Amino acid sequence: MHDALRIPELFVNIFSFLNASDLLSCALVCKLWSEDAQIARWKVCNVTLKALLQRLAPLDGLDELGLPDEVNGQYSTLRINFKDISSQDWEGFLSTTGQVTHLHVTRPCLHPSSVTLLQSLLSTYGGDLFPNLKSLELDFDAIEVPTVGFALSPSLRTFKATSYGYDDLGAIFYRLHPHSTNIDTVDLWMERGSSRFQGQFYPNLRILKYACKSFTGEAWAALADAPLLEDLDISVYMSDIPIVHDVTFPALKRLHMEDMEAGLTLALMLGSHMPVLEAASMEEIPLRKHHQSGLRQHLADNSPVFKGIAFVDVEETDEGHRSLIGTLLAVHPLLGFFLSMLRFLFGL
Amino acid sequence: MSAAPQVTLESSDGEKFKVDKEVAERSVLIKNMIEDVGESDNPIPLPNVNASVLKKVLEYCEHHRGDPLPAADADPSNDDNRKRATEISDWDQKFIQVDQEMLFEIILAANYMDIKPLLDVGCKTVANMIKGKTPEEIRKLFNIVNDFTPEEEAQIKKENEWAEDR
Repeated sequence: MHDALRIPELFVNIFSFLNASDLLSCALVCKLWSEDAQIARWKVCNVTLKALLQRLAPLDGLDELGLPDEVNGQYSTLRINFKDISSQDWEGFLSTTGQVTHLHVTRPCLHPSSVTLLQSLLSTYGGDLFPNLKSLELDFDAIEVPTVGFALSPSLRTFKATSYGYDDLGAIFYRLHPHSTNIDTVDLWMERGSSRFQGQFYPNLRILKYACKSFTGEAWAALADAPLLEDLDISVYMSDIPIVHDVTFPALKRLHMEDMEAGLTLALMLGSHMPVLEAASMEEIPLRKHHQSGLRQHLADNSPVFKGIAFVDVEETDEGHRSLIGTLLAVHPLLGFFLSMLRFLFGL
Repeated sequence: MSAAPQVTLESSDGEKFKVDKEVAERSVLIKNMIEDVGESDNPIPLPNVNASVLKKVLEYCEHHRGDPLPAADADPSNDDNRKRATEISDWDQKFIQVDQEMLFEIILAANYMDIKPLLDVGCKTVANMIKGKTPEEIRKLFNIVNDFTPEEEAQIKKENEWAEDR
């Protein structure tokens, strides 16, 4: 090997006269050449949006770009080598990503070096990676802070995420805040944990669907801080009954609560004001009759436009028990006595 | 005394070449040296270039003595055009038809003496030798040792498969 071929300045100059396929051959000649040949190759390659996006994020809903829904990426091995991408290339790339309006991330997908690359491109040239993104959806397991960070832009209207944990979503909300001013719909489902979802950071939030396993009274009050929230669909669990006092949902019109404990439901509802509430529904919440009527009265007292509250699927847990008990009483007198004692003791 | 001003260049092996200043100044290195040192009868030493190579280089400079000098800061887009065009003029083509050793020596000399058009002629010629060849053929051509494992080769192919030629 001649010395001339060992001097980077010289072989890089040679590479500048080659096309992509020859440069790939050069990248495979020896280690000394490989890195620079690949960089040179990126300069003469179209960074196809499809190819790049498939490695950044498997996408759905990109029919307008002719992209398939396929999930295709060996992210663990990805290394993107276009360090020298020019500002024109980047603008061209952004003009294409600008066509993406819906981003659906189905699994973790960003290789650390891609994150570094995108961060440096964004900090060098500015702009948003998806400047016209309207809707961001993260599937179970796809919660990945860098992905979300890159997908965020002020154009975002809808955010949907499912997650196991606490920290990941918390970090995402931290990132969402500066980009959340135009978000009007949020749908969150958390297997465990809660979130630091702060309604005050969502000045245009109208529809919120929220499920989590570790709720607090403070979290309830934080939801109420969304000034324009109209629709709330909530399913939460709390180990202790919270003290909720004077929480006001100023714009809430429709409320749906589902699969919650009776005591928690009552504590949240009776400690809250919903002055423009029109309709509420409670599904699979074992509220007793007098609690149901008390709740109905509370809502009617608070809102002049209140039309009614529906209780759905509560027979199984409340009325259902009573009829079952009735049946057992008829079958066995001794059992009946035993159950009467139970009813007496526990108010069944 | 109306003859063009001349300078003397001295190769690494001590041979002296007396050439027109205009010819020598195709080399940015020599041009800068003359500017720095001023006119002098002392030979300019070129310790990295031997006589046979310097002779070839000066042949090139002589032929291209009247060419416009490339601008120091050329428009990048023009630069890009230059990069993409691999055709070489007939004279240059003939000039650069030398054995591989001499070709690389000319490239090294052009790089050292900072003669950009000659460097490009040399590099284009090497690029043309590479074109269409497999990695193994390239290694054989330039006597390069393959230091990749099959796994590393597969990895590089995989990382690069998804970009298309422009």
